[in-house]
Amino acid sequence: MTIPVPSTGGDKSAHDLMDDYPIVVRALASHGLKGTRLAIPEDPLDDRGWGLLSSAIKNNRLWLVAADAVLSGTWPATLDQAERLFDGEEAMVAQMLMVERATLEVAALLDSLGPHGIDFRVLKGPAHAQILWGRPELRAWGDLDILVPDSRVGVVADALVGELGARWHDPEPIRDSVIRFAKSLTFTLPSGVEVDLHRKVVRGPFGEAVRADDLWARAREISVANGTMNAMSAEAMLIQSCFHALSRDPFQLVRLRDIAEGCRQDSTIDSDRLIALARRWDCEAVVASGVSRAVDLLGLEPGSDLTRWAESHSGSAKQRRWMGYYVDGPPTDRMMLALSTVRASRSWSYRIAYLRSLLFHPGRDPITVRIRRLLGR
Amino acid sequence: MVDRDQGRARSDLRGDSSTSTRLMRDPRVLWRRVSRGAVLLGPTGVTAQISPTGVAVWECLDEPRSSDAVAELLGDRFGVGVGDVHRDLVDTIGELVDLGMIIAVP
Repeated sequence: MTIPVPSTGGDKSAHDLMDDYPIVVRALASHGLKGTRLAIPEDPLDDRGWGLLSSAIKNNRLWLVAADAVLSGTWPATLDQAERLFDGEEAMVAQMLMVERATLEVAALLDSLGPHGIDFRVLKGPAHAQILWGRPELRAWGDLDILVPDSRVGVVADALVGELGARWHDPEPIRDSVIRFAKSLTFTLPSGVEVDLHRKVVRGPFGEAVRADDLWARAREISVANGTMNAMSAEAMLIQSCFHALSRDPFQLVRLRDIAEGCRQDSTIDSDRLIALARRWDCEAVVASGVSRAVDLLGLEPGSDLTRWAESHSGSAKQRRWMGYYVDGPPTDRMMLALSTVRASRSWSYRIAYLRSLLFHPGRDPITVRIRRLLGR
Repeated sequence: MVDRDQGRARSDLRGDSSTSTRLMRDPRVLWRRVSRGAVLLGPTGVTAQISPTGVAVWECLDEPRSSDAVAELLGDRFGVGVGDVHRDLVDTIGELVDLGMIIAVP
């Protein structure tokens, strides 16, 4: 009923994930992905198997993929299983529509700030759906992620709270520190939609290595609700997905599906440009690992330029060391992540300010707490 | 004014008066197709799920039309009598008018 998945290299974390996600889950997650070789069950799953699959669908926001698989007759399901899937699909779509409306609301707010408005990029969700996925209608999202220029984060944060009545999750008194150093700030709008306001696409040393100008170059146009907005380049999107795949954050299968979509033979990704960007951002190891894991887990035919490149590249020793700090391991890893962030930053004044914020601001961040404890503060 | 039009639309649909009121989708409604029809998000944050038949009605109201005109369009499309279609139409449109998804236009 199932076929073995070929391995593209010695990436141990890919095999860890294979333990986390049985082949039946990965087969469903790859539904509609061109070039996948994972076999699907011939009969509907029993209650235990269905329970496992349902959890994976919920935890990875795979409702639209699953509903399409069943509706098209590709995936066998009982009537009851199908009805429950369609219930989940409808709830997911209602949430997506709310996020789309919130996106329009936030975009209008940004346009109204300052004499010329504030430029922004829509991240993940609809951007990945429309630019990376072969079938955009299968990609779901549950919140709004936007990138704004580093220098305007504070202004936008205040406007979200003051103009739209959003609740800011990062509490006082570390406000200034969060605005200047956090990867992103989280808000909840009165409608219940969560907004992640990004100043970076990844935390830690890789976040320092990413060139901010590149995030704004080669913008791609996407449509959200009835509006047109800008997203990052397809290559930057794929690298961001590779960064997300580093740690065990939620929605891991969707992250890997984003990467796999970019590895399709007919993908819009320009492999040469992507590899050049990965080199410029000092993250070839991250991209090679992300691509290999996506190919392995979703059973993608490893024939594209990108998958061939990933098979033969492992990045530098420094990059691999940094990658290790992103996995939620012992507290020392989190401390090393903070310290390597300091070392990776290009400006001495930024390094000093970041260290000062870690040591002197009474944040709840475990890294800060640990460092202060070590220093006896 | 809008409320008065909405009231007139509901009244028309119940057959209290002529069915000449023109109706259309509220352009602020966001919607997407799903396996069992479509999900609609109204301007006030109300969501509604409509059946494939409801989607057919919804699609007809991309421009202002009377319920008679919608019935004619759907009758032609599905090869059934206008009278039969109109009876089904009343409930669907009535619910969507009540939810504020469909508005009456002059």
